[in-house]
Amino acid sequence: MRLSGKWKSIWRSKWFFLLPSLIGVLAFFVFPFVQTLVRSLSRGLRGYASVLGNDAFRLAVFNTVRFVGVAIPLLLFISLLAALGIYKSKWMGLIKSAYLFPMAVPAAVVALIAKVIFAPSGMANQMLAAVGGQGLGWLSGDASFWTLVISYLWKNSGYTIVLWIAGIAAVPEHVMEAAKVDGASGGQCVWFILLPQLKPALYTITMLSFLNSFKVFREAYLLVGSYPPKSMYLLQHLFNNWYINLDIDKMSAAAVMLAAAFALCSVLLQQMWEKEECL
Amino acid sequence: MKAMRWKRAASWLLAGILVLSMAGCGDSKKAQSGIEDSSTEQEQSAPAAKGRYMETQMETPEGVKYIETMVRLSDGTLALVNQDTGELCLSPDNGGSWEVKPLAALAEQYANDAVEVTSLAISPNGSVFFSYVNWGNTAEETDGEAASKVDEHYVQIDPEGNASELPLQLESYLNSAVYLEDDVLLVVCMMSNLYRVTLSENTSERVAEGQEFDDVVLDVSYAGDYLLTNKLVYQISAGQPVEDSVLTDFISQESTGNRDIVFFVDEEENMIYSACASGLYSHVIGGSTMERLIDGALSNLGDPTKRVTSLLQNEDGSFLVSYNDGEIDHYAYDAQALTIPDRQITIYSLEQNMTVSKAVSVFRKKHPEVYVKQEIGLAGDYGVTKEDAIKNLNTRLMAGEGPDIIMLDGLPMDSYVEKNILADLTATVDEIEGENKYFSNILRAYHKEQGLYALPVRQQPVMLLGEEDVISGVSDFASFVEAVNKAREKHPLSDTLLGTFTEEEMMDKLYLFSPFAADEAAASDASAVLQFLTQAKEVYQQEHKNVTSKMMEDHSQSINFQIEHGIMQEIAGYGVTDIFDFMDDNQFFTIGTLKSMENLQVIQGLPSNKEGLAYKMLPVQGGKAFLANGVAGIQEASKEKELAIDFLKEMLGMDVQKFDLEDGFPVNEDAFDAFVGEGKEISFSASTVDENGMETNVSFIATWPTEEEAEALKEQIRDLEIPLRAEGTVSDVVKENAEKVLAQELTPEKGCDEIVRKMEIYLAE
Repeated sequence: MRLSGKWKSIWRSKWFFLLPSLIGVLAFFVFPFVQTLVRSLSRGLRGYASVLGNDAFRLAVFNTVRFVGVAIPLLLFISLLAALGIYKSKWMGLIKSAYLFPMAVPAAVVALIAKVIFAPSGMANQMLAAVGGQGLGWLSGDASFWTLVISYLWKNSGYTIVLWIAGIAAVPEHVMEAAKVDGASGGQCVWFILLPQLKPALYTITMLSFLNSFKVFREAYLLVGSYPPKSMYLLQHLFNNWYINLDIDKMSAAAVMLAAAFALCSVLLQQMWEKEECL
Repeated sequence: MKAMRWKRAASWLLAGILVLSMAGCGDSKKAQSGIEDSSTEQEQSAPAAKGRYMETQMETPEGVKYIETMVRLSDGTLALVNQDTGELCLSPDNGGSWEVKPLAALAEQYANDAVEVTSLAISPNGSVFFSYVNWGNTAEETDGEAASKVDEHYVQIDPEGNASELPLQLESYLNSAVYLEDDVLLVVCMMSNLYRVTLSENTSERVAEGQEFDDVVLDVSYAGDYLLTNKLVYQISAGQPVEDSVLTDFISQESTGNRDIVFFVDEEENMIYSACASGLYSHVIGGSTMERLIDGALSNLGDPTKRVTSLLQNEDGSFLVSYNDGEIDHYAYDAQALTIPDRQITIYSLEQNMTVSKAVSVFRKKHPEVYVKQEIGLAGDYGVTKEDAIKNLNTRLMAGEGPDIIMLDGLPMDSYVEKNILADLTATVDEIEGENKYFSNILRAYHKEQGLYALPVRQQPVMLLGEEDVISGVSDFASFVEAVNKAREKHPLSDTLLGTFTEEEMMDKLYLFSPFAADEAAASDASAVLQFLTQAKEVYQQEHKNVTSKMMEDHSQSINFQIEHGIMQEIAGYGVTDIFDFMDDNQFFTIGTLKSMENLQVIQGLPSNKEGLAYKMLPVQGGKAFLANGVAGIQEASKEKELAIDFLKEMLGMDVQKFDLEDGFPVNEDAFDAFVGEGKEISFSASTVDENGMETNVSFIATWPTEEEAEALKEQIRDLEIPLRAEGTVSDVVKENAEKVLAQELTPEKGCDEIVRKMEIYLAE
């Protein structure tokens, strides 16, 4: 009797603690999303058709997918290499802090630094000239896409390195030692023992990097405003400009499609990970 | 169990912090500014809050058309000087009635055209001090030693009316004076020094020497024992500054753009009162807030055609405010009056609009039961960008809480029309056109097939001024470029041709001549863009041929000074700078808009002062283009639509349109004649010395336009029909890249690519 009373109280307290956040999620996420969905259907499916036929939307989707497709693998790879390099180094703490520093830099400052570096006569072009190369239009031409990628890598690599280091630290020491005793080289230890063990971390890191990739808009916006060069034009630019012009129907349809695409990606990633787990 | 209690306590604490932090997301502007508003507290408190200072107009002494200063004498009498007749006006019953006392010595100087009375002060016992310069005896002014040889005199008239010239030895020349005591004057000299002068001893000593306001001493205000500037509060008796950043920030904010602010100090209460365009405020000296007692929008203080000149407090706590136009208003607290009227309409504009402010003032008098709230999207120094302001407005419009009237300048007008945000005003225009005569071509310039959603409240004709033989051949931008080339051949040594120095200044002028100002879609036409950029670059190169880095530096300093003192002249306008440059042979063309009668005087005065000059409508769109300033729309979903329409009618009516607010000419044709009215001629002579020591004398007289000249302009205005757009996404993109082309950061081809690419995206969106 006493036990069941306790369970009841736990059950009640669970809802008591969950309720505020549930109300928050319902009020600030679910309800607005339903409203957006309804609004997107105000002209039936024609709203979706008009957005899909919109050149600016297609360009923004292309650039966003391209950015995610290029920047995230690069980030994962570079930060994994760095994490492997500094793991167990006696300077690990210091290096980690140095890598994390860009995260503490406000977006406006990042934009300012990027402007100095990527200006036509800025540091980037001076370096290219020093090695005999030709200056690039980092903030105006096609090269501006790479400005975006570099800013993203610079800003996010520290955080990702920390996540990788946490993943590496979670791999049991004795497994690595056993492999070494069996005669595995350093490279083999990493390839055959460490990397397979890091797959759970990979899912989390990929998801977080994917979410962070949307924040790169802040820097892009501060660097070149609402109408950046074509290769820098992301979905957020489009949403920003649509909002200024009060194109709410278009925004709603595009937001629903974006949410669907995002959900699909998450599910696919999760399924891939679960499949790997089963194997 | 104990741990459980701790966890529970921690949970409650965190929940509490969350609630508090959400409550903290309120109106942060108020907290930032340090201004508390007790005049319109109703918005935050009970809906029927009562208590407000009510405005009553007092009797003004007969014949007084201008009040520079009104003081209270030691016996409580109000005193002011009629600056037309030189009479001292005294009111022993606090403004109820006035008696006049002639001041022969002052009247004599006012009657002399060669004399300029430079300062005037009334002492607590009723003596009058004034200083004057007789320019007729100041012939030496042109020989380069102007300041030291000005024929300046100082006179004191005692309470009995006996005048005596004072043998004061002061720096030339006196800019203002005020009595600290019956025998002690505080004077501000033009050469940026403040002096305390003991009249009976003929001695003077520097005041506040070495303080931070030395370089802007002419902006100093005086109240009680204090000198006040936007940088410093200085206590004269203590001989040191008082720490009061709230007050200096307030002065800085309220005096931006050369607006007036006056003070009154209640020394017993250590309280300072200030009156300015936004209202009447109280502040404890050294305290942390400015409390607004009277809202400018609910009083004459907010009227942009009035300049507040004096503030006094009566024994009963009520206030007296004098205005430059001779009006004296009494503000007494009425505990039964509604804090703000129960009906309200809101008018939104991205930036301050003088015609709107004037309309608010006129409407308030005709509809005392209505509170007109004026919202300015980019007001204050809160780092709000234009895009942020538009997004905030859009959010409110989507939530059904938007303003009733929207001034569409800089806003996405076409989108608002397309999304049915704006109401069709065709019926309103039909109605007002039956009551007054309007420039229908201007008023209906934004007509669309679906209806008329936007009405310009002011219009600015765009003019081209230059040498007659050169501008006569200008029919489009290409021929303008040819004319510029020809002018450079003719004047190979002149500093500039159009009077611009920077890329931004050049583009402000040239954009009006671009095809994109009238037709934004043209900005996606690569050949049109490339042609414009190439031609603009050619003009800029000719313009900059003789500009040295020293000239750029001087120009930059001059601009910074103008910005700091709120006297920045718009580049695409006609002002005193143009006069100097044209008369000094450093400018031969200009493109600009007519915003005021002074602009018209300048553009008409230049050809009559310098042979060979002429002006005409800018030949863009066949000479039929104009710049609309203040484009008004009414929100379709407004809950007070009828009232909003009444306000719009007022804004377009005679009582607002007849005033020259330096923001454009009337759209009301009946108001045009009153707007032109009668005015003074512009006349001055000055000398400039260049870096090589070469001196140039410039003398200029521009008479007030004659009826025929005004009629000719009216005739030209009747032909205008194409509104230009000098701001918005297209102009931002074109100007930004064009400036890079002029600065040679981009080639015209590269600049063209950038513009066209961005325009393709803009149009695709």
